[in-house]
Amino acid sequence: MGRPLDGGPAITTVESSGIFNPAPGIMDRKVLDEQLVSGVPAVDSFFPIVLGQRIAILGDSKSGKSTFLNQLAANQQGSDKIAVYVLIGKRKVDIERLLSNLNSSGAMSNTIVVLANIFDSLTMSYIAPYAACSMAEYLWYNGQDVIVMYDDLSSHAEAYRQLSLLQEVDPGRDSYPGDIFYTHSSLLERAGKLLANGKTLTSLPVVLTPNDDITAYLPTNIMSITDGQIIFDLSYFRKGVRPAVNAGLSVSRVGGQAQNKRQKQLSSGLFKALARFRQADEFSHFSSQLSAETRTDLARGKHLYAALQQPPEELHSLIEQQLILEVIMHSPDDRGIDVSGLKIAVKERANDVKSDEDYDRIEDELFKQFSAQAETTKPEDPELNETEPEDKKSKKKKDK
Amino acid sequence: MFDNQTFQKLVEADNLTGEVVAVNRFIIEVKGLEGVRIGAQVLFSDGQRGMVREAHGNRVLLYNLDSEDLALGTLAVVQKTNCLYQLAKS
Repeated sequence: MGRPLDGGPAITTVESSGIFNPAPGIMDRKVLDEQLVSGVPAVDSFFPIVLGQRIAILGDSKSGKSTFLNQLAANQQGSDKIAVYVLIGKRKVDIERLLSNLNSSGAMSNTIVVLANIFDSLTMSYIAPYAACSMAEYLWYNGQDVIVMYDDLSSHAEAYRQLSLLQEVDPGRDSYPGDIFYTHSSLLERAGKLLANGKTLTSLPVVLTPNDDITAYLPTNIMSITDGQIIFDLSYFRKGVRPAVNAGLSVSRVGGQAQNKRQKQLSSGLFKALARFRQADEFSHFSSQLSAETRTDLARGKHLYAALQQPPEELHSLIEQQLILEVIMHSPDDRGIDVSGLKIAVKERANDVKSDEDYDRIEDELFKQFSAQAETTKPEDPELNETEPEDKKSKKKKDK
Repeated sequence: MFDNQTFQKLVEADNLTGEVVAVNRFIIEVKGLEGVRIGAQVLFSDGQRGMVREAHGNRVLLYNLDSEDLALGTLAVVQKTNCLYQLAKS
């Protein structure tokens, strides 16, 4: 416990701290109001994570949960935030992959990794998240923003279940002991924003949902403890949606507190646009004649999904995300937009944004540039332009 | 005299002591340690560490933090009243 595993010199210790510390009381806490940017538009623009929040990351194995956590850790480079990554019951190959990802992205310089692999004792797996939380708390109370990622609490619960069964504690639902809720709530309530120094501890517990069943015992327990959840859906992942965030089931219960008016407007507009896209998409299966409005909804939805599609190494600042999404949302009709070109242009121009006026000017310029390009390329985009306007079709019919 | 210097010092400091009477993988039952705090860290004479989970008078249940192998009859002494980790100098 507490031994350096990276081959570095032995750690000289000067103080010690309890592993099972009590959480700060309600009078010591402050309202959360600052966004934690993950660099992933599918999360930041839809379900913003707030510094000090507890937000569960749910999903089946290999659905992109760890990739998202890596992106979040990588996006904290250059800031004074410390990431604490706890790996519980992981195979050595998974641990190596995570460490190499953290090293290659440069995130390792401000990350603490706490390991309890499958060969460590059950007790180590049980106390690993508490020990990591204590390390985070020390930094938190001493004036630093900390993000703790528990990967994953399902393995932690299994280790605790085994220990409890050995201890002959009466098994409850799914054979977990009766205090499994307390086990996780006592860990996760050690997060928030301190009144004394205004610093935050953000908790991101990962929970496995086998067969995408989020109604199982553990996922529902953790969802009821946390202030929201981001659900990674394996069926979306298989369809090629990356990150495979399920927009219908995910929620951030305090996300709105960290957004300004403009962000809130964009966020609600995005949800509406995606809902309209789904409706229009279903409708388009039955009808070949679509109204101009439906075609706009279809085109906008396709562009939005293209904009949200993101490889792991691609990260966007909040300004970039907002520019990309607003340009797409402001498109008045079903004209095609070169989304990948837009992303590149936004990356180049985002640093020029110094004030609201700059933002509006750049947004207008980008919109003109890409919608103008789109009009010239319109005939080459058969998918978006396969349907003709209805008045033209009716004219043709009359001619016949 | 015990081979384990740390253990010897803790016994000499009059910390609570006990003897392992049952082992079930990671769960250790110790006779003694009466009045120990839940969550206290215990050192065994073979150098392994435990954490107090339940206390019923002089029968105490511990989690073994290090392995599943602990011999019956091993002696235990309270090391810290809380389960602690060490903080490094920055």
